[in-house]
Amino acid sequence: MSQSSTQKQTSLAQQGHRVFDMVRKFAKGAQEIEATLTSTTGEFLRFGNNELGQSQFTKSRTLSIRLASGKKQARTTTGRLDESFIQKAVEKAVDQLKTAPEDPDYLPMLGRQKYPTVNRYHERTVEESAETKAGHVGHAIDLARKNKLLASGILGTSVDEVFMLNTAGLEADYKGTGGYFSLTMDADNGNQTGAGS
Amino acid sequence: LLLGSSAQFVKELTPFIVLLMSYEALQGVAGSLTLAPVIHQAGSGTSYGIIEAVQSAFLSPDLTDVMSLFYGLHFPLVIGSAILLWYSNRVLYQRYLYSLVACSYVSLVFYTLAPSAPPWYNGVASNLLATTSGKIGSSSLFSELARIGSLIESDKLVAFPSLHAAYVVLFSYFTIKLKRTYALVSIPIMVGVLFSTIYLGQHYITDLVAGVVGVSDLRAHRYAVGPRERLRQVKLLESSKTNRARIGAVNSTKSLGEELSRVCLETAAQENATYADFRLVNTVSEVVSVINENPASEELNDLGAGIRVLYKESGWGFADTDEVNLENIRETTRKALALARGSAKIGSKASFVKEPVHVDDWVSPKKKDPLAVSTGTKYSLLHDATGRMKEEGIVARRGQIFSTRIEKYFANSEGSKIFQDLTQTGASLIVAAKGPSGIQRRSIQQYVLGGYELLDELDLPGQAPTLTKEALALTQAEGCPTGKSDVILSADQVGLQVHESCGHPIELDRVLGYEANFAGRSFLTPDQLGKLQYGSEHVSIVMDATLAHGHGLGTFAYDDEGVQAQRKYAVKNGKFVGYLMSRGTASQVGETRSNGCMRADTYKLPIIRMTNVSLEPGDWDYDELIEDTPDGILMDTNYGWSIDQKRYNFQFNCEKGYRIKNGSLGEMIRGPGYSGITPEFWNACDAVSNQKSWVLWGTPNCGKGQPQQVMGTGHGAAPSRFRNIRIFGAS
Repeated sequence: MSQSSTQKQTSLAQQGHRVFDMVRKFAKGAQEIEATLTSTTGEFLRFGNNELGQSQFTKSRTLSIRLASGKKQARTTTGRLDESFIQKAVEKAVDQLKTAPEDPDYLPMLGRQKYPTVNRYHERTVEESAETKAGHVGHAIDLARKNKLLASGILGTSVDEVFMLNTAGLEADYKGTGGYFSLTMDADNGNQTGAGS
Repeated sequence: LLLGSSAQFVKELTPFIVLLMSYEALQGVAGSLTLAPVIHQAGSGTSYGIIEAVQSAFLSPDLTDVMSLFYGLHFPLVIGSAILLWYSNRVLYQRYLYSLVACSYVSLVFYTLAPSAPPWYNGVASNLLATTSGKIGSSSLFSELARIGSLIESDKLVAFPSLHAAYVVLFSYFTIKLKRTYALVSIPIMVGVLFSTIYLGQHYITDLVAGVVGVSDLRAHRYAVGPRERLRQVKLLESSKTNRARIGAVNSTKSLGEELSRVCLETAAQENATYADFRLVNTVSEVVSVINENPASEELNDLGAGIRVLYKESGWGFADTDEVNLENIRETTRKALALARGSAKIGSKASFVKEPVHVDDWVSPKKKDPLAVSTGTKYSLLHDATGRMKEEGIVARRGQIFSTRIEKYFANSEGSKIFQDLTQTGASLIVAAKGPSGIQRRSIQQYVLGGYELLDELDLPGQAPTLTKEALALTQAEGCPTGKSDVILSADQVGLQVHESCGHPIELDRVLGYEANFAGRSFLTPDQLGKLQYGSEHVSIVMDATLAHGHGLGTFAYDDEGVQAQRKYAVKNGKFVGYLMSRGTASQVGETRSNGCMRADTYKLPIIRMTNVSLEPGDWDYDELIEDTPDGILMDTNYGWSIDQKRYNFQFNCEKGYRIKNGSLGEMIRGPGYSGITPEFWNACDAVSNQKSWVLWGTPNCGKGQPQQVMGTGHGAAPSRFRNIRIFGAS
């Protein structure tokens, strides 16, 4: 994780701070509070039978809440960031905390940290157009057709962001891009297969 | 045409009826006003010369008949094309009607403020329409069309702008927008109608130009049903602090879905999508567990929208989002369109079989809402059950209760609008014992489309002692022999056997190679459809999502592309006869309708999934089946399995077994396993128990797709016997 702050990272951080304030408000009785907000977007082009069958974009966020008191801890998650749902998730964690068994190996939450900057975000991965990506897939399919094979696979890119805050003073964020390409070439209706990724 | 809903048809036809009635009611308005009409004089402009030249150059009785026919098409064309659009694309239909209405009323302003006479009115040109009416009286079609044409022109002072021109241009524009090949018909008709107005002396060139320009400039439909900017982000499903009463939630999800789908479908239509569908899915689920003495619970709240579009009939795009506000839905729609355009660049023509339009609400049956039962009550039940399993030799105990509610609103560009509210409940109990043969396990689990009443039926505390006793006994039991034997499988094991060796290989996307890079292919290739003897005559396997089949995890009213739940055979008396399909794949095996198997994990991309894939019950009473078996092994409750990517070679092992000797159950055996080749195995089935021991089992965690999705499926099954099967003892 890095604590670097670009404009876009600030957006998730701002959301994270807003959410953390709500979590603190509802987490009555908890000695330690932690909120982790994750955001994932991905674009996936799946192909099979020498055709591009699925082109999908997906976007979701998840809030994970961890509460601790003494050596007990509880965690709840929610995909809804409305105040009422955050309240519900926190109250659930508070209930769990009351009944949770003590963990003899429990370590207190981390305080303020200084992490080295890690730059794993590449704008080009995000900005590559769907047409360009489809062109890459088309190239693989053309190769398969020329060789009388059937191509199937996936071309995927993703952006993952994480923002974490706790009452011990930790504030950290990470943003990175990812990409992968997986290809299977079939001959004889799948009885002869070669794959790579 | 009325397959969808008669009421819906009438409702959506209303703007058109209003238009026709208004048109009729306004007959003669222009002539009754005191404003002086604009009456052009013969020879006073070049356009008049054009009309005269056209009439003198082309005048012939036959052409007059043909032109009268074109001229009379004015209203029939609009009616016919409106019905075509209503049936094919409701968004285009609404835009068409709004455009027609807007054009008519803008024209009315001109007619009342500046009434204008047609060319024939003062002798600029001959009124060939009137001439024709007299000449072709013997032809019923021509006569009728001429009569309609005459009615239209009964108001003499409504020449500028020409509604003939406006209507026929709108007709061409929308029919071509619906399908480009329609241009082969609609453009000649448009040219014919425009020419007829000149040839018959009904309009000046300027009237036509005004009509055409008016249509293109007005773009009435864009304003009439444009994005509803007033929509604000709706806060949904505010949960009660005191309880989980969610009666209001149903309406909220549906109403938000209705509002957002309009924006989505309108955006898709504006961007020339051939087809679009929208789903808003609200999922609330809770898992309550007690592991040994420790309670744990997890609740998931998930609201999001998935948008799927087809562009130029050759590129699919899908985008989802968990930010369900107006602006983001519009943006997500555009994202799906961008992906679809990219796909279209290398895509081939997409087939998409027809499905009737459905407008419906459906709530799955339940007696007791599982999410209304407190977490504390669930903890108490699980503590009671796991507490009864606490004995010497027992090393692990776990009880779980699963509660899920899925509300989903679906709308597509064809006019379907479907709201479904599904409640699912599940439970499991598992105990592990350690003894001389190592660790042995016993478990029960069941998942249904239904409510908390499942927990009453399962009676987890009542079953706990038996499971515990069996787990302890298994640690002392002999292992399963290796060799060949007749085997009777318990109903739940048969259910899993159906899932793995029939359910997956009949997924048509898998068959066609779309999953080859991840999940694999299938041995059930299309050339075997209707030919392969998949099993014995005792084996009939249905794909049945209807409620009549039972309360399964594969039960619904409509799948996630709006196809109604159906019951079809995959295997009929042993013969392989059907696949699990989608609208996009059905035609590839010669089907004209999908059997409704597109399902999505929450609001993600729908993919072909099992519904309830069930072995139909046979004739045997279970006790008689045991009595009829002189030597064999009974295997009960799955422990693990493996199967190849084509679903051809497999092995399964079970938690417990019993020897069967001379028609009676003998000693218990641990870790019984069997292996086989799918068609050989099912052809070795010589007996299936009857309805009394048939159960619709739930499989809650079937994984498929990239990114991976998890789906619940149903499998009805009864204990069945298989002859001469390879068996082995699992370690």
